[in-house]
Amino acid sequence: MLKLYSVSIKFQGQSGFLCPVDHVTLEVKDGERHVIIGETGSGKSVLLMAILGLSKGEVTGNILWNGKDLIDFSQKEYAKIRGSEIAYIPQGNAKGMDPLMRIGDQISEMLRVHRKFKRKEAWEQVVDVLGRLDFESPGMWARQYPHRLSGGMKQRALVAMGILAGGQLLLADEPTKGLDEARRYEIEKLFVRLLGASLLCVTHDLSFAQAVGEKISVMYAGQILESCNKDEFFRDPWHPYSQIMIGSLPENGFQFPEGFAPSHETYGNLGCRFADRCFKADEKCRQCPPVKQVGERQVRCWYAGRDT
Amino acid sequence: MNYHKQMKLGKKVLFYLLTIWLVASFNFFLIRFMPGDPLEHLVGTEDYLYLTTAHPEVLEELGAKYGLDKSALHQYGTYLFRLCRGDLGRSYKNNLPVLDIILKKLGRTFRLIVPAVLLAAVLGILLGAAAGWNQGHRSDRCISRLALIIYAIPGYCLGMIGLMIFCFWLGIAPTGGMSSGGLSGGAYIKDLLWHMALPVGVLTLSKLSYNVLMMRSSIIETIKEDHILMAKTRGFSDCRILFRHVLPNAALPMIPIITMQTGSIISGSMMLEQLFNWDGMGLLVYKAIGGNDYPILQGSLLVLTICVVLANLLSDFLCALSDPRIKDGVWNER
Repeated sequence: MLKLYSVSIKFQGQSGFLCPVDHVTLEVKDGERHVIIGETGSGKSVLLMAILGLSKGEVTGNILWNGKDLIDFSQKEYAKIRGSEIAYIPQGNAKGMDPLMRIGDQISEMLRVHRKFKRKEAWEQVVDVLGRLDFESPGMWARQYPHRLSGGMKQRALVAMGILAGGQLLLADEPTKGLDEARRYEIEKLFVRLLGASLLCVTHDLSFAQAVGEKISVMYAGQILESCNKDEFFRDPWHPYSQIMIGSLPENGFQFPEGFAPSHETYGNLGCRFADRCFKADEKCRQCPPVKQVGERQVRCWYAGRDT
Repeated sequence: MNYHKQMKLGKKVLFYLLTIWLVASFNFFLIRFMPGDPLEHLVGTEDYLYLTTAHPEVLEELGAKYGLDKSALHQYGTYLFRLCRGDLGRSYKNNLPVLDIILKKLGRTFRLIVPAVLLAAVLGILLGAAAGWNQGHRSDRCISRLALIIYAIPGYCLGMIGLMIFCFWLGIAPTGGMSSGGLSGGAYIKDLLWHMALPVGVLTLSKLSYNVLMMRSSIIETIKEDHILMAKTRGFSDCRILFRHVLPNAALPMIPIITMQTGSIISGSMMLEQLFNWDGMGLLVYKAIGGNDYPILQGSLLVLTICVVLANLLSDFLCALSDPRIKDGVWNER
């Protein structure tokens, strides 16, 4: 399906290069729901944009999609994949919709462009999908303009756009950002129901990740620190950062380390990027830790594991 | 249409009526406060001087005929009353009703303005879109530099350049006027178009340059918006994104710009009408100033104001029609 191998993204900053995504390797298998957890600024959204070929930075490495390397694709070749094979679902509170087009027209545009539907067929399909996404009187809502929709409705409409074209992979960028608990629950249900397609979702919401994800990757300062199955991750995290994160869940007592992730400019000078905030850190952590592979699990730490 | 919207519409109409009333009153009092006796304009300076000394009773009779013996407030009341009935008085020069003269000239001016504004709008939006979409490329540099140069040249100067090239050097355009006379039917229309070509072209060019520059910057702003990036993630072609998503959004701010052009161009084309001897509003006002024809001047000013107000109304209407957010009164939301 989708395989990222050692993907880095570089931006030309004012003083040299910034590298918000650094040698990220991950895989999304057929029908799998993969969730990337990370703090703001850890490079998650930039990574999604790079997969779609819309990153403004310089992308290196390999992005393998069904055996083809997307790095070599031209914008024209990319346009054929976007939407029809890889669909993207933006944040609901972002300005993701054309303010001058009716919701129904915008959603049906996906069908008309990618699957050559006639206008009327497409509209019927859209009303049908909106109905399945828990819109009351979907025919009425399809005729509304985006500014009349609430945040949760917008998010669901954006999800409808993502799933309608029948893509094999959905990329979702913080789908629960800015939504209240009830709306978040709706989105969770939706994503779990979308079993047809695989999902690569980016979030900083742990409980959402727990509800939706099958595989979890933890991203910190542009690197993947740990990647494993959901159950293993929540039962037995190996990386100190993951352990702290799970300790920070309300039911575990809200403990979180002080300080912030290092800034993009200082990435190059560090060994382990989490060392400054880590409770296990010592001299060894001044050198860059190797990636340990144990079965399905990948960990980037000198002291990976529970008690080592 | 619910109660709320009716209130809004009513307020708007009231506001515009108030504007027209204010301009009309200003018009009235401005002329009343000017030094001199209005009868002096009516009979001419020499006759006036003769009559004041020899036959003051003739002047008094004349004053009574025009209602000048009444108080200013009474005169103002009569003026407003007549205004409401569409009576703007008679020209000093040929004693014809002012309204008839103005409407005739206004029709001629519209013959220049309507095609010019429409052409400038369509071409301006398309050229500006081409420039903004290819920002930084050669086509953008050509279009925007040319537009800037033309924008910097005043309209009458552009008109003189046009006359010089097309009339005197190439000899393919008439030097001015509206028709050769003595024609009818198809030949008349052909002749009219031939006479219109140069003034309309010059007017179009001077408005076009501004539209191109505005549209270009509007496109550049719109491209940066999130929903355009999202349209790209949905795999639409560039052509579709430009024409279905960028262009409608970028053209929104052009609506007030273009409609206000229609309003202001009527008074602004005075120089061009003079240059091309086009017998419209501009020339009428120009001649009225030269000939001390106050009723014409007063009436023209009022009609021009009404034109600007109507253009404003049209702008509001078109904006509400094309942007659903304005109709709902939530400009900033998406």
